[in-house]
Amino acid sequence: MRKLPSYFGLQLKRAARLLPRMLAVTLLLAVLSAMSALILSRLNQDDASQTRVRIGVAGDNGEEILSQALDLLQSVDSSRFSIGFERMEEAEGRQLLAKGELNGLVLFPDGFADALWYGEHRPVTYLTRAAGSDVGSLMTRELVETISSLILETENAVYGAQTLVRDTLPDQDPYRAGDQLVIRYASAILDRERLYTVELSDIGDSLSLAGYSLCGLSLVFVLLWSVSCSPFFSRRSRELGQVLSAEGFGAGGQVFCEFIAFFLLLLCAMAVAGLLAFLLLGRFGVVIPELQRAEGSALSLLPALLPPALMLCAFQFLLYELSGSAVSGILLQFLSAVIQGYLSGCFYPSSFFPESLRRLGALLPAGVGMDDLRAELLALPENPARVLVWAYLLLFLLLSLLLRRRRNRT
Amino acid sequence: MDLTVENIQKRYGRNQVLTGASFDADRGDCAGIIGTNGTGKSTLLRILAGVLRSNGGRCLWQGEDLLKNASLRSRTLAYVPQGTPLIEELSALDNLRLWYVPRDLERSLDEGLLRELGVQDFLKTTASRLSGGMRKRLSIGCALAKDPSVLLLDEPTAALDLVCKERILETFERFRSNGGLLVLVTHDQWEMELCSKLYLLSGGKLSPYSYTGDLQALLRDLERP
Repeated sequence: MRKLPSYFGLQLKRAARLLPRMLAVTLLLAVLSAMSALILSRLNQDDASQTRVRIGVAGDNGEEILSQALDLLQSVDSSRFSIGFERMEEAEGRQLLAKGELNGLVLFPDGFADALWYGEHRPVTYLTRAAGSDVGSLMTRELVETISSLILETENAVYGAQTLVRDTLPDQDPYRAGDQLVIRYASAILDRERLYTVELSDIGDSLSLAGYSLCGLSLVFVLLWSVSCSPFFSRRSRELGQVLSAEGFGAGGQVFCEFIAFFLLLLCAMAVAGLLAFLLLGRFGVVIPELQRAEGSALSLLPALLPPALMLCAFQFLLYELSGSAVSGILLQFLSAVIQGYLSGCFYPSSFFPESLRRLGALLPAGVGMDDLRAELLALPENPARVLVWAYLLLFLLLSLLLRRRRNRT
Repeated sequence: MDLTVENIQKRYGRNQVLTGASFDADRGDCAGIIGTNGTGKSTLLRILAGVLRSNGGRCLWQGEDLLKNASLRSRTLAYVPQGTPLIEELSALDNLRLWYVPRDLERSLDEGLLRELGVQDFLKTTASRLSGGMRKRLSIGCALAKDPSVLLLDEPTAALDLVCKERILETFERFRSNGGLLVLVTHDQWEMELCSKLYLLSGGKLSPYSYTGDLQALLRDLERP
């Protein structure tokens, strides 16, 4: 073990040599992560341009009342951010529908509004794309059917109410009572915002979307960053390991020194990325509610990120020990980052996956890291994932040590 | 005898590579091990160096078994493998710092074996940019750091130019004259001429060999089962 200080010093020097290159990759990754966070965050903010479901409305040409009704609906109803209705020609609507730029097209027959005045029902056609089995199509179809039923039933109710007023309250104006009923109906029931409540299930035990995205993207950053570290591993000399072992400086010491140097590199990258994220999020006014509650900034997430980052770092170290060449190392790291990031819900909430995949994702290193980070961000009193983080860290280091020992003896 | 290697055995799965290799040598000797590729020459050297474990046998240095005494082995032996045990991203000087105490490094660079190897000419060059000959000289320089009694070398001058080869062989001569013992695995005629003892490894066993400079005879002996 006399060699430990000098070997450690030289590993740090190696890491320092690679630092500029790593930082370049870090900058790129950080900018990409920040942009993704920004997009995710903006999607969640009030902005008319961020309509998610786009529905075309065509037909009944020459009838202004339909257009006016749509304009009114769009300008008074806050749910327009989720569903946008657009008046257009049928041909244009069909074209956009075919291109997939529309989620659905509602075709009103000619004279629809006039007929409606006189209590006549002309069926409205709802067009969707061939398969129409995606969530958006199913939801819009359901919505159109619901609104059709609402209009018909409301119409019946209005006429029924007018008849009731005429028969029972002869001194009242039945048309005036009908109008009042319609106005009340429109303000109380047709306000789409009140028709539904949105509950995002399992976005991290009440983590906000922005907080969840920050956790996920931070881990994705750690996962992807290791790809750029391949020179740190691929240029190691197997003979050096063997000679050092023969000299009494075994696999344990070698793995320890190299791992710490590797982790310090990651720390430098994290510090730079954290600073960039802090500046970018501040510049674009993105607010992370969990951090705001704790009166912290994006930078205050860094200490919470350390244990999962240390564990993921050990996992990446293990993958590099497993790989025989630079190419296989890079491929392993990249595939591991993408698969883990996806299954562990770093890219997208894991609640959208089947139960079996969710369980698998939660056991992957990134999944454990995600749970740990989430608990830390929410400042939960208990964090069972932290135990797993340390257990995984020890396991990965032990496996790396065994692999190194084996490599030194072959 | 200072070094006595007795009945070393090594098995990889069902493949018995060494069936009982034995040889001996004294300080100041240069013991060469020759044989065709795949006969187990490097394996034997790596067992002696402590990189591999044997399945039997002893390696005695002045009566003490080096295979069982890692500390004595580490003090006595130095090993230079076929490849280069260097940190590629760092300079030659940094690589030497891993092995040398600063004071010894300075002394060796000024007047010792490192100077003889010509290492001071490329001290600040990154290892990955060194030529094959420079890398080999640096590796040998690193191995000499602890002033070992026995130097184990695996084809030390293979694929090097004549000037470099001569420089390295001169260093070996000086090492021997200072009382060091060289054990080298070789295919090289120059290296064989340097050896005071030659052993032919065949069928997993070593037998003394006398090289007369006749390459045809050597070829016949190597091909003999």
